[in-house]
Amino acid sequence: MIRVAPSLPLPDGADVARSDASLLEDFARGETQALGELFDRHHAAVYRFVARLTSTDRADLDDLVQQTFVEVARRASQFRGAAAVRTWLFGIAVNVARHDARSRTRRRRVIGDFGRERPSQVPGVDRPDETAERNELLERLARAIDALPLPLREAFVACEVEDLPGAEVARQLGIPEGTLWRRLHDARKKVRAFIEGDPA
Amino acid sequence: MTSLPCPSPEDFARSVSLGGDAPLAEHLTTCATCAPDWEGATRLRALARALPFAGPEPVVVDAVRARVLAAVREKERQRRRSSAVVASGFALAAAAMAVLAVRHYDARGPAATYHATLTARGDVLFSRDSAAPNERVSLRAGTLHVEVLPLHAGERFVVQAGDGQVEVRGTAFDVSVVLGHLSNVHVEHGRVEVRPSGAPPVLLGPGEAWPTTVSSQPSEALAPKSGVPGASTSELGTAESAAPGAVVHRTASGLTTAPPASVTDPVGASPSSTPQPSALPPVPAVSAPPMPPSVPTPSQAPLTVPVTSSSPNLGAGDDRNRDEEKRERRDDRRERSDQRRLR
Repeated sequence: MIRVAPSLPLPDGADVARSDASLLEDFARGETQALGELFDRHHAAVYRFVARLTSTDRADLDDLVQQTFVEVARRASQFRGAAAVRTWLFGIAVNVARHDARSRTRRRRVIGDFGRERPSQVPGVDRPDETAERNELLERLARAIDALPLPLREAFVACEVEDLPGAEVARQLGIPEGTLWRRLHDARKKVRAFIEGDPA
Repeated sequence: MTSLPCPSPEDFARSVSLGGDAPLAEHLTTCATCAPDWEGATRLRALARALPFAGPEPVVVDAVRARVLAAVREKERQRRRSSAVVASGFALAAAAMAVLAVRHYDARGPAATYHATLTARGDVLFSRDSAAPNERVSLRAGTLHVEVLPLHAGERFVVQAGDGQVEVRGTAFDVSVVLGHLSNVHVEHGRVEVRPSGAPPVLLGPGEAWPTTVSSQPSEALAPKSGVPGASTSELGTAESAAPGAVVHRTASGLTTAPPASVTDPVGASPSSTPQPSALPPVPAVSAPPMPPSVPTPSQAPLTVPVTSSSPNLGAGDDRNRDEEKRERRDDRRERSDQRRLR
């Protein structure tokens, strides 16, 4: 059961956005369009998260995002409100990515698709002051993330790239919080070593 | 040289993410190992936040969104279909349980014996009022298929069908009541004499139905009438129709004002002045008057509850064997009695 207070009736013409939890609750009650609104709010973050997590090409990325939201629909009634909806979404995306990683025998590095686009092709972001050195650094960071083992990558992408609370991430990953911090520590060390030219 | 020990990797990582406390800050000012790690981790964290990502084109997002919603709707449709199938299954099971529950209820006690199998034909309101030897069923509304094994001497099976009554002896038939009135009788096998209220009785053979579409002459009322389209005359002469069992139908008024009629009672004219199709008509929804203990059967579709051979009192083979055993015992008793008389 979703522990969300029932929505109060809105005055006519009121345009008050529903909370993510309310959208999930409404979808669980049969309002399919609520899932569409949830998709509109979070698809960019899910795209980014899954892309960092899976090192896959664009077409497969679309499929993984689709699978994530279909899974969100399936589990909507199970949302307990213990974490933010976005964290919960990322938890589902992690499971989808894990399943994909297990079933995929050949994967392409996400840097192959997105590296050429970043950072100058980020929509709405103009970085004229970005130096080539910083671009190179960011590209090395992306490669370093892709090189991480999946458990470390999950922790790094969730906590560092997406800046999600560690306690919620640990809960969504189904691991003790101490384990998450340990993985994050190891991931940071490996990424730094990769960027600084010591990928070992 | 530091006064505080280095934090554990877990504490260090948590402090980088959540912020360090004063003791850690003091430790970092003096620890040559932790200080560069802290600075490197902090810079990495800032760099990771700046990691750019080129999102998909809006047209791609729209396509994915549409696929997600389509997939969800399709799953919902599948779930509804599955639910409908399950619901149908539950309805059938519930209907079957209703019939079986009646049997179970009636079968309580070692003396309860039944010779009839009752099968609901759609919505039926009926109850089993008593067991053998005077087996009685009250049909309030709908159509009930009744199959009765051959009865023994002194045993009766009676269906109180609305304002009429049907007494059965070793046959199978459908009897319908609409708005409290006997509306239809269709004989599967055996012989049935139908005596509708206000009309002369009619004898029906296997495959025949009442009301018939063919008007009959009074003198032919007891002769078999083919009420089923396509029924051949050869069907009327089967072994089943020649069986000793017969059905006597009496009206309610006949029960209260006249002694029970015999099977061979003479009958008069055609049973009905308004011919109806001989096939089983659909039974409309009927709001039957309350009559406990009635058993409504919710199934909309015709329900068939097969009689298993393991059912006590209902297996045809078991019943035939029992008949033979009883007959043999009766013959033995007669033989011993005759011998005693002779002695």
